[in-house]
Amino acid sequence: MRCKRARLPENIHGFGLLHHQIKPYRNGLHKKGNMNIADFLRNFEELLELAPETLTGTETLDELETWDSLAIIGFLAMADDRYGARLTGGRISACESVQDLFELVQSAAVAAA
Amino acid sequence: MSGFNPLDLTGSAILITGASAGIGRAAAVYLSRLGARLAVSGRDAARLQHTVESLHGSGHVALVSDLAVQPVSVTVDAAFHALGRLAGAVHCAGLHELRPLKLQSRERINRLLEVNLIAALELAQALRKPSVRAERPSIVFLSSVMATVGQPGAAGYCASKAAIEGMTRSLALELAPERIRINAVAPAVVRTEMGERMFQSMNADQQAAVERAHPLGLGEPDDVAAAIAFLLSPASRWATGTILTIDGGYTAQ
Repeated sequence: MRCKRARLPENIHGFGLLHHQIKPYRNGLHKKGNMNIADFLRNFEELLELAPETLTGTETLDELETWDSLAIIGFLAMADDRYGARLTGGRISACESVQDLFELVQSAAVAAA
Repeated sequence: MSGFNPLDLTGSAILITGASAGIGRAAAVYLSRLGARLAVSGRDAARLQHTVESLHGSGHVALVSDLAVQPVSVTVDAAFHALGRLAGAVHCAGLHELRPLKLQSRERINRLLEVNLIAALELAQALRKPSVRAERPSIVFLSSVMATVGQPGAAGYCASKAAIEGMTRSLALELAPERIRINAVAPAVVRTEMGERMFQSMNADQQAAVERAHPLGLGEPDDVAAAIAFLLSPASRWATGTILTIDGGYTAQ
């Protein structure tokens, strides 16, 4: 995975981990182990409020106008909710492309399974 | 002056929720060093046992409980039966997560409010009963600087802490005639075990930004524990309805 500059915003001051984390809530459609690139892209499009089937996975994150600091927070939540993957802002900062994000979530989901 | 210690809590029976880690554990250790006898509660039995083993003195008790599913009154009653009349309580149990509004849900907000806010109210309600409390008990809630400043993705947490502060003032007035004091501490970022993991996951620029927001640097758990000890001790006998901000200058800017 390629690395680039940090994307976590300065106004995330770590308050999110001062107390116990809420246990992940997963609906019936997205349980651990149900991960493939198509499913991931649809969830990611929904998070970024893009039209369905807009993304192919080859896009760089810099290309995505709605990939901002709040989207990163949302991505952390989505990865936990949908795939049981506990990520950190630092690991997301190392991703350059949508494919990188998919691989990150996939590896974290496998580790958590 | 030899022997003068206005924070002395020798013999005082005190209940601490959320004592299996972080500020709750630090407060337990700090209060035990001041002579308190403690009932420490938390969800994780093994981590709670670690807290008990870290305490000074003897006569402490561990109470495993999940405040999201068990009424706080059960924990208060158990503490009373183990230690006798309670001189104080500290509500350190709390939930938090960062989550954008569009991914929020009634279920998540309710669970957060149940532990952060409603359990605190139930703690005061249970400890108010004349049959379980000492003559002039003190209750301390855990607020946060997030009660007064915002943070993207933290609406539920900020709301719960702002509500804690409103509740602190209201209960302070309601319970003053019974000589029960209600106060809260409002810390910024503290180097708890979980907070430290988050901090270490950031790169150097991000860590520097967090440090810059705290003119005195990040807090240590004992910084907050000391404030809690003050609010429990006779030294604060004239303080009620107070929000004691202890944030390294975070909100002074």
